[in-house]
Amino acid sequence: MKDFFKDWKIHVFCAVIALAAELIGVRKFSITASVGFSLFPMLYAMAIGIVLGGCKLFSMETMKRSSSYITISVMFLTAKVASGISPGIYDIYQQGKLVGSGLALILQEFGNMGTAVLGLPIAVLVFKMGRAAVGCTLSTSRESTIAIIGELYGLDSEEGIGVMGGYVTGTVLGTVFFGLMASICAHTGFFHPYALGAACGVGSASMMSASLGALEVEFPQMAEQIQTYAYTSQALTNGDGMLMSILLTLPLTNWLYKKCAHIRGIDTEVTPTAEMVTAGQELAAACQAENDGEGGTEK
Amino acid sequence: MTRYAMLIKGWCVTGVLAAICNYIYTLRMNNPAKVVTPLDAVPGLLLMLGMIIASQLCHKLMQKIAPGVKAPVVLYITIIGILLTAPGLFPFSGFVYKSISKVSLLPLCTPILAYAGIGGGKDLKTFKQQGIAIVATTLIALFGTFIGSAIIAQLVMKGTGVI
Repeated sequence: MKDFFKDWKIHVFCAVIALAAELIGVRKFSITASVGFSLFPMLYAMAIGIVLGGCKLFSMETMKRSSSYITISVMFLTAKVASGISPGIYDIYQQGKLVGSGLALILQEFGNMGTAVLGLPIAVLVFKMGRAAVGCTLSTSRESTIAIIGELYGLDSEEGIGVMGGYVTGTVLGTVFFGLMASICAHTGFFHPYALGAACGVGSASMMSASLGALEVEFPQMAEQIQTYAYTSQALTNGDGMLMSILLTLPLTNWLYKKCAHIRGIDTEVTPTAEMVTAGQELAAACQAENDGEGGTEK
Repeated sequence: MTRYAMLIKGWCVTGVLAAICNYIYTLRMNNPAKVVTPLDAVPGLLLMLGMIIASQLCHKLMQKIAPGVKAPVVLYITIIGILLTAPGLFPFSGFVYKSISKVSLLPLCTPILAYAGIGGGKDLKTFKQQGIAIVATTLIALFGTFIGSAIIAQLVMKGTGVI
């Protein structure tokens, strides 16, 4: 029983940060009439945690343990998201828009290949990256992508370094980036809020919520419909994400890499650091353990 | 410490924080009709917890009867959530949806990202070692998946008259 309360510190930190973030509340900023963005509690919570961690306020043990609570905490969000799908789709059906919306939701899944289409040429031609670019632009560099790259190339390969770099970048900056990006895209007025809603489902729960949150702040009167598109797209991506990465995006990424490498000679500047390799291996082991059903957290 | 102890602690902390964050969030909307007190949020949170526990059981059961199928818990939660709220499928579908609707999305994410923020500190050192090229490429790739989906959705929805 004493053991049960051993990690109380993490939960107290979590509670204090979450409440502080919530008390700051939603803030809107506009630079000009069409350029602007919003910030909201979840982004502050992420930022406060990282800054405090950067100030060495938490022990390594605390930070590692806190990470394993993310997957537990996120289950509520998944339940919330799942429970919104059926009523939302029924609503679309009653408006007689089921065929169009369904088609849009299915086809927009192919937009997830935008990581490679946009990212790879820039990585190779502008930043002169080597094969690391393939790992980095295959998908959103979350756990499932690491599993694919780890399986096919090994995590100490160039591709592995790319995906691990993408992973830490996404972990540290991803949420805030998605929140700001969706907010700015909403301000431009090029896209209908429904289309942006469908784009929110990128497979990562925190990135989806950050972009969806930004849209809800911008278009409160359409929040319900936007949620339906985001939730459905998210569920679709969760289902087809890995398959699409292996069957479609990976061949495309390799093809693009060959084309771009042909255009200019490649010199690889990125070398593996020992820490990245161990971090990758740990993560791969954790993924494996998670797949096997045991959290691997026996202590 | 066992996995079960962690699950129980994680669920309790997230649930309680979600109820309080949701209260603060709804208070700020300046609309007394929309305020959801922590007590009002309890049925929704308990229903979500029920779905989560059911999905854990499904996951365990599937491992016993079909060890070859490696489906994550998240998948079971999604399926259970979709079925329980499907209009007309169960007499209580409407109640489930209404109760869960009382908990807004944004405040539900705050505790998750507080955990993620605390945990994010451990990646900070590795992050600082990244070349600017990998950081920029990752952000461009993230932008790519968002804008790619947005463009396709926009075109198809325009074409089919949804918007």
